[in-house]
Amino acid sequence: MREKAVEYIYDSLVDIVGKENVVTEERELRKYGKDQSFTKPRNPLFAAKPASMEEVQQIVMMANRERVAIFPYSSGTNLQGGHIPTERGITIDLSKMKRIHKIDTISRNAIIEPGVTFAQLQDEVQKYGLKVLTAPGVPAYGSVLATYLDLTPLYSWCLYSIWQLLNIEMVLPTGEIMKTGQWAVRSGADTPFTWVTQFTVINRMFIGAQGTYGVATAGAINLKTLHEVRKVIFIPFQTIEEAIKAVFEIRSVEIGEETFIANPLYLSLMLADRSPEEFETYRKNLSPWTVILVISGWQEEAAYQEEDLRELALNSKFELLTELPGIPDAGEKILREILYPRGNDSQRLYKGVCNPIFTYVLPKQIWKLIGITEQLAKEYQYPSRDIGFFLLPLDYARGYYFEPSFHRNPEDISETEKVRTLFNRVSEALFQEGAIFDRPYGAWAEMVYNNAGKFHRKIREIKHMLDPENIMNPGKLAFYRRGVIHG
Amino acid sequence: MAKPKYPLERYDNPALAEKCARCGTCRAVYADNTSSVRFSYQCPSGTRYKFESFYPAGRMYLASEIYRGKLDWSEHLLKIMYACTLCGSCSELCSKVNIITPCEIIEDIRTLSFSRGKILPGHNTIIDSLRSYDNPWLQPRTSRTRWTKNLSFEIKDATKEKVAVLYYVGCTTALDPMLHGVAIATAELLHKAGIDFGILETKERCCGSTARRIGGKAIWDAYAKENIRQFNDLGVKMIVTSCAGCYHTFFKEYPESGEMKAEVITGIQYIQTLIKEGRLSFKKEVEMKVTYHDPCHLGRHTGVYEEPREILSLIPGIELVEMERNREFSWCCGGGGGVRSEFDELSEYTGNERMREAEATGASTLITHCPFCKSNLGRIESSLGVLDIVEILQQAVL
Amino acid sequence: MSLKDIKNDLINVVGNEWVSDRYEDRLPYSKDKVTAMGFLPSRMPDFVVMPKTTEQIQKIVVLANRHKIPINQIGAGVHLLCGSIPTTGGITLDYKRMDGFWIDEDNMTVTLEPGVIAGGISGEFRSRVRKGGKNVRPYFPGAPGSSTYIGALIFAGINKLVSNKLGQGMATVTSLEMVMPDGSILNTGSGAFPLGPGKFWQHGPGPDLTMLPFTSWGAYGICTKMTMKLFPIQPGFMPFWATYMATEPAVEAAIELLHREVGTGLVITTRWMHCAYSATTRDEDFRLERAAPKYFLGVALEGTKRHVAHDLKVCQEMAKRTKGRIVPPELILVYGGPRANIEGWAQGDSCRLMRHNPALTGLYVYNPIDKFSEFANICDQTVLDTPEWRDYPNPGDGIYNCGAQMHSILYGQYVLCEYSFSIDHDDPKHVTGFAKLIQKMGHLGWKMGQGPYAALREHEPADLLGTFYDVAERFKRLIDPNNILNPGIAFPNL
Repeated sequence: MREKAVEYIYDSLVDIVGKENVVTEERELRKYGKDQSFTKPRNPLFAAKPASMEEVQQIVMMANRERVAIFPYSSGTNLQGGHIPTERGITIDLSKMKRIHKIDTISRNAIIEPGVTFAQLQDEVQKYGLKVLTAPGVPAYGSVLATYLDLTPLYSWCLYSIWQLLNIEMVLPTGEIMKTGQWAVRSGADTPFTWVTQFTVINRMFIGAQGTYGVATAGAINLKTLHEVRKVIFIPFQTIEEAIKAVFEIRSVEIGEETFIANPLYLSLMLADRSPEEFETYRKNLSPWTVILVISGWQEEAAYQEEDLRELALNSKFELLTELPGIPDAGEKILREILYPRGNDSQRLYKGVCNPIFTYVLPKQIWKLIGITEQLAKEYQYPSRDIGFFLLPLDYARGYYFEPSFHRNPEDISETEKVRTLFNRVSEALFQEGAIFDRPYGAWAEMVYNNAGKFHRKIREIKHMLDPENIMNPGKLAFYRRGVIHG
Repeated sequence: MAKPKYPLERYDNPALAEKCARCGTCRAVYADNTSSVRFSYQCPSGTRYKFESFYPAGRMYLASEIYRGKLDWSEHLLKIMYACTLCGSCSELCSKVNIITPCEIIEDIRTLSFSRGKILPGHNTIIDSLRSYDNPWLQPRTSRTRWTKNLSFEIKDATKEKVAVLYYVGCTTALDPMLHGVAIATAELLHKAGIDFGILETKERCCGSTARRIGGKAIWDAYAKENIRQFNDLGVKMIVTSCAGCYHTFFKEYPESGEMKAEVITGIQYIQTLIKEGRLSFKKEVEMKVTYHDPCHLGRHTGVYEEPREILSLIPGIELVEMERNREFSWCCGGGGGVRSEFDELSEYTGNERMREAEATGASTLITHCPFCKSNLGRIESSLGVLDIVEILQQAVL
Repeated sequence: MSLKDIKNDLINVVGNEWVSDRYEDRLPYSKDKVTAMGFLPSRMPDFVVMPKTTEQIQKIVVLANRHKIPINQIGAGVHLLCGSIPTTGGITLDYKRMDGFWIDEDNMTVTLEPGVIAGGISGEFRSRVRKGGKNVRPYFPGAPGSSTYIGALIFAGINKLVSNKLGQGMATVTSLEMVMPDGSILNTGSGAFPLGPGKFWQHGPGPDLTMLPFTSWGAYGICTKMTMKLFPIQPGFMPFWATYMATEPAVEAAIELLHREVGTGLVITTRWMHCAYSATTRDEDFRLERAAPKYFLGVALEGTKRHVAHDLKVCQEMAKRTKGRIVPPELILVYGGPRANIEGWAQGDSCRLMRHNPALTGLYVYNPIDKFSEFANICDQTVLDTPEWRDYPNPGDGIYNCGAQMHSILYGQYVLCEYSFSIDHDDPKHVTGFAKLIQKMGHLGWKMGQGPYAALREHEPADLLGTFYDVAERFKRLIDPNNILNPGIAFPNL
């Protein structure tokens, strides 16, 4: 880009957001240009920190005029390079937009800006006896809106599998403002909670779009009741098949709320908060698989759920524990983790970086996919005890979010290369075995869309319709990068 | 079965047809009573032809146009209105949710078209036969008594000897050799029970039902008046009939034309009474797995559902299994409404559907109590035999 | 190209038996209750066509593009809002021949073609359970009848009581096979992954297109297969009803129950509708109404036996606290409402609402639950302020045949508020009265909330919905440049 053009862009940004809100230092820009994924790092030209929807709109309009790419950034916690620029453009850092516009305690919904974090919102809504649903892997300083827009699986998805993101206020790539669903009418301004209105698809298609269809500047989201009784039950299993069977039985009769399955590495890292040595100790005491279930409700409600669970455990012959051997306060730690997750940060305690693969699978596929992962690890001489496995049942355990993860020391180039190759090989193998990648970031995009050509063609057409200049997060979702004919 | 909410003379009110809400309830078995997709359909002509015009709602839209004088009697319109077995399922289902009786309206449309001279060729033959032979099947009157030659006793001529009970055989049963077994079984059972009964022999005239179904209401009316006069003159106390169609018209429709002094009862209802009175008892076991088909004229049109089932449950050795669509949700046999004479393909299709449903029960025999049902279902290729209930009773009693 | 040429092309695709241009065959596709009342014009299609397969539909779409002839679609045609009446002739597709279905217990899904009737598939699952099969079933929409098609109902946003727990029907759809306006096939959700294990999950690769046919009146494509989730049938079930004379205390009780997430379904229903559902005859209907209070709060309780017992206790406490009168079990047999709906199956009872006077329509808007009372009061007042309606003598004594009702979606995330009327479309005075009323209501609707059925044709949609509508229209132009699919209904200006 020519120097004069760069200068113009800088001047425009200063004009819009103020000098103090434009980042130019390469050192500071690094946070926008990389993450722990294998996405090629690239710093943006500048990062701008707007404080309002109007400022976002002005930035987008300027970007259209100057044909410069925009890369939205909320908290950078999606672990797959979603915010990393594909060219030298402008990163819009939405973290300053931290307002909670409304908490509706009757409908249990809230209207928030993209910079609102889980921690911030959790603190606020708890005053009203409510809670915000969190995602495993996303730390509490992560953006609620961005997490929900990304369709990140949530701890409570075994019970509430519908979208928690109801409606969105967007700045479209052309600079137009759009509000979806009920928000689109004046009468809906205060309570824009209905997403089933005319042309529901126009609401929903911005979800999962990885920021390529526009910038969300506010969202209406759903909250849940924070119950007075929250009790964690641990159920140990020797085999994954047994664990899956038990979870199916539990979820079929709707016992409990948050439910997940983890292997010793994942679980021990989740529970350790002091040192790597601590988690090694924990790991030794854990069964090959542990089901974690949270009984949640008012007093009598929690009581009958426990009774139902005990009856089920007796009939199906599995053990119920309220604590884990050698791990003090395991239950409390889980509850804290769910409300204020450390997310992937806790997994990094081991070697510094943890690279997860996001897939959805059927229960009957799981043992085979675990086998494939371990087999490939062996081929690449990667120790299988360094693979984390995390499984989250979907509603009624009809399917699972299945997340194998690989640990590495980022300073160790050889290990990093090994994990990169393994990560890609395992992704490919899982995909060929039928695992579903619904968040096709980075290399996954090519892998998925080479096989889902018709779907890709359709979303590309929509991209071209919304973003004729291809300025919004170009190159993501295997959309063509700028300079290449698209559509 | 719901009675018409409006007097007959108001059927030509287009507003009545327009009260159809097009809810689709008439197209399928009521949602509470289904057991599969395969056997959840209703309305044979709609299920066969699929276009809305062949379903009751479509016919109601067309009826209101006809009543307003906006439609010509095209060949296709006549097909729409006549390719309907008048099974009454639509009226039955509609009564659960709404207030109209589409079946009666369709019949009224036929009366209108008939009065305008729009008579289909196959139906013309029926009319000519009635005029010539007092029966719809082009059979001379003398043929009516052929079935009596196989009786084990001398049957009385009710026109010559006074009898308490008149056995009204019906044209179809009397004139179709494939159905003689029904007449024979009925007569033998009545005789076994010691009933003083007779038949009208060659003086038996058609009940008029076939004429009415194809729109010849005036012809039906003439038969009704004549038959009522004959029955009243004979002084019979009870009229027993083998034919569901005859029963329907005697019981529900004849009161429009005149007052019949005798009580009318179906063969199976009368035999049930005889069993209860101890005049008939079961001597033999009949080892058979059967399913019962509710004739439209007996079931929906006159409400006789349980008596045949009660009898079947009493017969030693009989195992009764129900089809999915039974009682008021029964699927038509395809034999009625003048359809077989003009749209035999629809008649066969409808019968075929019913036999497939019967086969799904695992039964070896389909039992019914109507000559049209027995005839139409009996001609469908199937692993099941088709019998009238009196034929089974005959095996068990005699 | 003449209509005759088009007819020949259609015959080449589906066969002579399944194409008709006869007046008598086309007439029933030109009318419904709303045209009968004269609110919208009755218009005939040029052809009625009955396809059997997805491939046939593709070919029809291609030839429609070639001839620039529009395609209309009809489900059961009961929607009462003219979604299936053509605006400019064309080809009406009727899907009755497409009644295939596939149950996949591994994936816990069922895939349905568009002609599968709700009652039939409901019976299919009921009998599987009876015969010892897996205790599962899909979501069955409520209204309006035994033989309507699940797909069409769900696409229109029709609810069911179980929407309290599961959301609206569309939230239980995992994958669609769509014929797009250019004739290509699009699979959405996990169905977009050709190597995937099945259509068990509603998210496809990237932007979510699963909602393409929902509340878009057929404008965006033709759905030829819909895959829905199956849900375990819970071991225990019990209906709970309490009555109120006003909405406010009923809403207060409902809010508490929703916060506690009690009930698979939760409804506050108006007297006339509840009695119409409950009665088996018209006379019984009127008798029940004369004795009934104005509002019924209903909760469908499902779960383990302990769960149901606990929730019942909570409902009883809430009712007592808000001075509602609990309907005892023996009276629930009489005032049971839409029983099959409440119990989780397809129901035929909706059409009983037609029994007073055989046309039913109303105002449907979505709102937060605390706006329901305001909604009901405003509507009631509007009725009282409209003498042409209020003073009209009616077999139901006038006061009984309109009223407000509310269904909860996802434990009060939002609720569907309805104000429904039954109308004697036979009588011009009644229709005039209703017309005046619905005009007032229509304007109110946009002020009080937004629903899927808002009559866009009466308003300038761009004015009402702004950029949202504009993007929807651009999307329409993108995928259907010839505007052949259901033109003039969702997008009156195209």
